[in-house]
Amino acid sequence: MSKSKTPVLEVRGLHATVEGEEILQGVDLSIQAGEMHVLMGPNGSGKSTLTNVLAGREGYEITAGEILLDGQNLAVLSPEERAWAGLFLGFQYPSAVEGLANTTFLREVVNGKRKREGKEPLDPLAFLRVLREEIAKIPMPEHLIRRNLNVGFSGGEKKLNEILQLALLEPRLAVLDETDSGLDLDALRNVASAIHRQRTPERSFLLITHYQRLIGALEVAPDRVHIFARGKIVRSGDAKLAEQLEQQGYDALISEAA
Amino acid sequence: MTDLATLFPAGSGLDPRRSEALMAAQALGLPSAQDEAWRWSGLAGRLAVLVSSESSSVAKGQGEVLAGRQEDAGIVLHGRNIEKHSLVEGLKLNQQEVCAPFMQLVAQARHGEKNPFPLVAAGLAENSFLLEVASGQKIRQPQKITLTNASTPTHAACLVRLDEGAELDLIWRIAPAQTPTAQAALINYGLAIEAGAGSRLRLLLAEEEVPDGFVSGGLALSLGEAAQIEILRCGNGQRFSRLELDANLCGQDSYLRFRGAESLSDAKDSQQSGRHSETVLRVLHKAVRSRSSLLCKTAVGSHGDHIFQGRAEIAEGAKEVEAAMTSKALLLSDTAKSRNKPELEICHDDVACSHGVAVSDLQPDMLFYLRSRGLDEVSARRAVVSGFLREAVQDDAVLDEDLFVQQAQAALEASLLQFVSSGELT
Repeated sequence: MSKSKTPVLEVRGLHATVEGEEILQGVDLSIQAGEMHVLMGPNGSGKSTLTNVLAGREGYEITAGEILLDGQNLAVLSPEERAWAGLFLGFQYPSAVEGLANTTFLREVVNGKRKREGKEPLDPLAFLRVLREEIAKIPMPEHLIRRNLNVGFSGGEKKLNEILQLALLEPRLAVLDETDSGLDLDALRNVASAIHRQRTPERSFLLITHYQRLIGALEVAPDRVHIFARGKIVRSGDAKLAEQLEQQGYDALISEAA
Repeated sequence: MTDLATLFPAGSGLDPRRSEALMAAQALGLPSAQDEAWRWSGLAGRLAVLVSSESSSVAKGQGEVLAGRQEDAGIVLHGRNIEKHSLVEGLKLNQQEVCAPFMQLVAQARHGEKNPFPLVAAGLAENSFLLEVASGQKIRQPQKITLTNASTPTHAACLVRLDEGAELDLIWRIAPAQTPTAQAALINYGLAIEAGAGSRLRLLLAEEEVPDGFVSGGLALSLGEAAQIEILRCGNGQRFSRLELDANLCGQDSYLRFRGAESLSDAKDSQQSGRHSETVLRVLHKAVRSRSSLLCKTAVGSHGDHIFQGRAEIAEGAKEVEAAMTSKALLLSDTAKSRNKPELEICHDDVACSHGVAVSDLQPDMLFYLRSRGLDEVSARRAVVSGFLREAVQDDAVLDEDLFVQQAQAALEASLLQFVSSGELT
């Protein structure tokens, strides 16, 4: 993967609170263009809080530090402005929206992006062609686009739908929060392959997971693996760190790092 | 105490049959305070306010109803005055023979509830009429009837009779006056529907927003063997709107489907009360294998007041009945209210019945999810609300050549557009 001098994501000394309680306690993280990083940590370590802070969810307050996406300060932006800036958050539990057709929703977000880029909107037929191409690449069952957004989707189908959105929105940075949770082995392999196919020299990834099994299912090893504990990154390494973690468990490595 | 004789005097000059209807309504009387407590809407009190604030208008209006009408008020079929309408083949209009069978159907369907308004409509409506579709006739062109809310009361009573195997699509529209009026008045309509064996009626009740409108609708349905009635109600609410439906599923394998997609707009300012909408659905399953499916979805804006009361009664011996009833409300403001009371009374074992209610507000998680994909906050709110209401009609098969489905969807989309373009969602 090509590397550029300015990181796509730069997190410096990030502290954040939820309902007055400090969860993030000094996160430092730098991801270059095209890199894939994996953040692993035990329950309650603050991984999901980090994703929510990155994406701008209400109720999460940054008390110190900064988040830069391509040099742009994300902290002052609304969730949609962060999406427009190139951030994509793949949800652990994507919301289901009754009555909102998946295709209609996807066309609206894609045409919104095209409008911001000064491009003509896609009419329904043209969009359907684009959609079918992306579905074939992932691949995912085509009938899912005819249903309402995530309504009645299985866990694996929801994750594939997240990947479809990622593919259509073409973000600079994709943060995938526990994308492997609730997936059986086949679904995990499918999702891992789909993620791999979304990698480009310009697009970066931050995968958040509990387990090494997602890393094992990836076709190319991640560039960096970080262990997250007590609201910050306590140790970083290459893909072998994940294997070590699988063998020794979190407690041993976190104690060692301390 | 407001009574019907004061509000709607029988007076002289009425056709004896209409006078009889009015007398029957007066005998029934307005719902008592106890009835209204059960219904939650306080109709008598609201009518009193309407009359006291618009007494001259009511008196004048009643004269006009009896003697004629304002140009843009009244009942219009296909854009033309109903008396002059040239009939499509297979459809018969008859204004002379409506009262007696109308009253009979209303009385049969009423289940002992006190709802005099359809009878008032039969008594006072200048244009009581019969839509009759002969045996085996299938009317492909949707029949569109518009009741215009002007500054005078409008009463309409319509008897729909479908003979064996007949089919009809009917659009029943409440609309604001084309020329602005000083104040809106009462629209009171009664629809009595007799669906013969194997017949099918699709009915769109489209209530366009009349900010000061006062609409009372009464539906009395009787379904014969394998008859089907499908109703979609959509609208943006009125100052006061009440729909009472009484259905008797008398024939085996008969089917009633009701879908409501209603949005109660916000009060325009803090001085104005919000929209009030009450839907009362009472379904009596008398026959084996009869089915009913009732789903009401309502989005309630600021100071809006939504009431749903449903009751499905399964008579003894009515085996293999399927009855499902659901009300879902979405509250868009801290001042929005929704009160729901679904009931089942089952007198036979071998049936499948369900009832449920869900009241929620806009879920922050859902909005955050949509915003994280690039929708701004207003668009995200609109998407959730529109989706919520559209769900009421999503199981409709969409056929390009189906004019009724097209018009029903157009009415719903127009209603959605009006709703999402104002108030809480902007």
